[in-house]
Amino acid sequence: MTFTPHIAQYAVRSACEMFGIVVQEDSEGGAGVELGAAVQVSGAWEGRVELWCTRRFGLKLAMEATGLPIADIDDALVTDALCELTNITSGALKSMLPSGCTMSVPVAANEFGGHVSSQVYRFRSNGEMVVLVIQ
Amino acid sequence: MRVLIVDDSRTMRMIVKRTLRHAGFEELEIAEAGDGREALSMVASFAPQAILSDWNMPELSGLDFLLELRAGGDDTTFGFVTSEASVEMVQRATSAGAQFFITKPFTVDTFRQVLNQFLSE
Repeated sequence: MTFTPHIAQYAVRSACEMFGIVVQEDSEGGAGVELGAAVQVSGAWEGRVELWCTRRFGLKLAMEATGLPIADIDDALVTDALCELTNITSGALKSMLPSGCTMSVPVAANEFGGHVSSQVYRFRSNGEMVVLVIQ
Repeated sequence: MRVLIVDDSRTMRMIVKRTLRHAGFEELEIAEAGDGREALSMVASFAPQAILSDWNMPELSGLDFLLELRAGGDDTTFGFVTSEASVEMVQRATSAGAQFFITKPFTVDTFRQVLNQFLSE
């Protein structure tokens, strides 16, 4: 299934808003994204939803979500925040799929790039890149 | 009022706690659990009066947690706060004994509207 850009953008924007972060669509780039999380979707549609971001965006995400100062934000909390953002984004996308599809628990992802036959949507928040990959 | 928040994401548990405060539920005594299995033991020790649970969690899912709770005769007010919300899931949750269903992403207003009847003492 191919998601329209409007649906993909809505899914990411609304998920980010709950974390207190505003993102805007961007047309190119991807450099600097090094943190990733993924959710596997199974059923009538088999696919994988990934979110990638820069480390600075990950820190901002965790700080906004938790209300903690940067000194109290560790790598585990950044990963947890990005996993949850990916989970919510995936849930919004899944609502457009046929019934019966199930989602995995989100996990950290490795190695951005090499996505063949993927839908890629780019966003930026205060200069920091966020990339949604659906494959 | 004692409320148990169940979610495998520490970040989300913190967001739920903050949203409860912002929605006006400031006097709650809150405990947290990271999955359904831990939540079952927390129910025994903390005796919550309301439970807000994620659906998709490792170890024991939110639905299985609810089913085990009800099978044991526990009728604590229970609702899901989850990123998935198909009609089928809401029906399964309701059949299992859930009283409310909140979809992520949520807002402060959603919490206030949905939870007012359950969390107001």
